[in-house]
Amino acid sequence: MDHQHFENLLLNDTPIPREEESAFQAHLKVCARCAALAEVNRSLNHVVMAAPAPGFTSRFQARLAAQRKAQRKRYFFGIFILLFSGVGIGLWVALPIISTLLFSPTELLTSWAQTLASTLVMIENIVDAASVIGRVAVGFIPAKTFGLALGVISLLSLGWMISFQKSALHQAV
Amino acid sequence: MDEEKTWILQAQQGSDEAFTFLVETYQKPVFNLCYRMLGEADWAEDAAQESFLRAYKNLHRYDVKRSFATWLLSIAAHYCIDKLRRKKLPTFSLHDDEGNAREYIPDAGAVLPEKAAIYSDQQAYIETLLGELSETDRAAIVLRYWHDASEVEIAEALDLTVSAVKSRLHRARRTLGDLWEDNPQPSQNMERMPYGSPAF
Repeated sequence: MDHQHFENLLLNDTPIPREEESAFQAHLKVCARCAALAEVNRSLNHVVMAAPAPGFTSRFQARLAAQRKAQRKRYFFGIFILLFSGVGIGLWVALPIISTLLFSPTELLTSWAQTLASTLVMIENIVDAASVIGRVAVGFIPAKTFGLALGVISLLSLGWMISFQKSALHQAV
Repeated sequence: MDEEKTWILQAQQGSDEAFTFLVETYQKPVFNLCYRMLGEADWAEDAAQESFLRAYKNLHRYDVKRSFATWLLSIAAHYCIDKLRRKKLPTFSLHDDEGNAREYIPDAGAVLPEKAAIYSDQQAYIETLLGELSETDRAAIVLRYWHDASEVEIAEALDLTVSAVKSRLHRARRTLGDLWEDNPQPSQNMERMPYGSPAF
């Protein structure tokens, strides 16, 4: 048996066949490399487990409780900030309206009606422009190109969804 | 095993008592993995606690068809690998700054807080050599020999392919063999490693 054979067995930590045992022992006496590998494997196969200091579970429970407390604190602080800023923004938006409503309600209603009318006109214009563009575009862009563009967009969306799902699964481990 | 599944399902439904049972059951393997990865009892304690906290938070994502031990050890292994990569925790090097082999000096004066466990010279030495391996190779070796994990389980725990695990184990043994050959094991008896206890 040659060195390579024994080294491969040792590197794979494969048991030495019984019929090769004496040749192996003889080889170990003359080969420092294989002797070192054999010692490494022997040591690795006789390891001992390390145990935590007593009270590990109690320390975990205390840590979990502390983390929950901190989380509750963060939650309440977040809610407080949200409410405070919400009320502030609401007042900032509502105060001019309320004051106008109190002092000149007709003016306020007129301005609302004007805003509504201009919005409706804008939507109508956008729809008209879109229908014109649609008619013109269909005239000189072939239907196949539209189909191809839609297909590419669908594939890109699918790829994005798959990669998003993969990364979510990876984080879940 | 069925009893364990029951505890897991109860823990998934929010039972702290059930999760405490799981902590009791797996504290030793998780601590051992962290200890072998980080090499320091305090860091290992912190890493083990953090691993259990992460498991607690992500318990709803655990698939009961998988092995709970593998899932838990996977969390601990990834945590330790991240910790080693980010913080670059100091590890004992067998070479000095100029790359020369350093004479191995056992920490004979170390004070042991718990009942001292006397390892054999070889076991203590191999644990020192582990610090020379890359984070993932070390995790693979620890899972293989300390936790008796199969190559498939190691692959699952470390997000590797089975062939990658075989290759990493092969390379790790080669590195350990090289180190052992360059720095033969000291002859003195050593007393080290707090919290040592026989393998289960």
